[in-house]
Amino acid sequence: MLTILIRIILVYALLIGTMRLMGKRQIGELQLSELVTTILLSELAAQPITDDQTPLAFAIIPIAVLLSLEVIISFTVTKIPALKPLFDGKPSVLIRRGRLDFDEIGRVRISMEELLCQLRINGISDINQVDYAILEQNGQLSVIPKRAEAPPSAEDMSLKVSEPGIAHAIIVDTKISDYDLKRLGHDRRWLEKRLAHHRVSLDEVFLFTVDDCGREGLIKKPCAHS
Amino acid sequence: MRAFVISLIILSAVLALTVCDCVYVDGRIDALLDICEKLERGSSAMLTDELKSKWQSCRDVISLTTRQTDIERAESAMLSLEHYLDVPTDYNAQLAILVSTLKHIKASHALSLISIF
Repeated sequence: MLTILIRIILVYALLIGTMRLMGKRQIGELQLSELVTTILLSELAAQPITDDQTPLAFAIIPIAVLLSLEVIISFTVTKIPALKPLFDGKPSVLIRRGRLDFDEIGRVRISMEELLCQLRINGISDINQVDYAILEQNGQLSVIPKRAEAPPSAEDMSLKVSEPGIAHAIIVDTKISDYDLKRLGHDRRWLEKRLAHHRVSLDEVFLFTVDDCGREGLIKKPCAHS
Repeated sequence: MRAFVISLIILSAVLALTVCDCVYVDGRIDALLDICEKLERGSSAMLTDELKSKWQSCRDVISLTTRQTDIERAESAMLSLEHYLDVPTDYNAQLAILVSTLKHIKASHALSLISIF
């Protein structure tokens, strides 16, 4: 039993390391080659954990090879884009300039019901509103509505808007994020001054955010009632 | 780029390790099979001891990349050889099991179409 325990820890650490090296994309949207690798990884990892007759090397060596191949292939494909269709396929344009491409729809074997369902998921109620619909390599449908059907942008309305960027969480539940503070070019002394300006102490802050324009947001911790 | 270089290093290390393992196992099993061949002509306490000590010297390394069932079968046959030294029929039967197991271990490490499929 102790062997299995150690094996689980080793295989778990190996898989975490493998997934980290493969990159963040592996966690969310999977390309074809990544999906294949992920399926194989789970199978390979499970076998030596549950079967103590199998040497751990039977998992470690294939996982190391799969990881290396995956990284080498994705690096090579980035450097030589002509190889990309070979490993990940090509995106399929199902609706082009508002017209359905029946050949392409037939080739990817997607039914009209399925296409309509995907359009609804993308917030499109009428197929006539679509300018382009592209089935991406990871199986997701990208929908670009016709300009006339799209909501007007600030630019369309000739409005001047500032770009606030993103709000960085500087304090979460009284804990200061020095990393975000440093990224904004500030330090703890600046933070102390800002908290004094808001008339709060660190212990009272639940969330304190600062966006790229310097706009601050503060949420105080709820008062404890006994 | 860093992940790419790490992957190349890992792949090279795995390749080197696998080749070393194949060469090591092949060499050790061949040496054991040579002794078995001599034993097939007639049992000998000295050769049996030599076989056992050679097996014990490489057993741990071989077991790193070999299924435990194969290791256990070879181990069991090896122990039985000592036990049946004076009973030729049983001795030969255990020797046949040992030879078959060793050949199976060797085949599972060797690169051939049969071992791949």
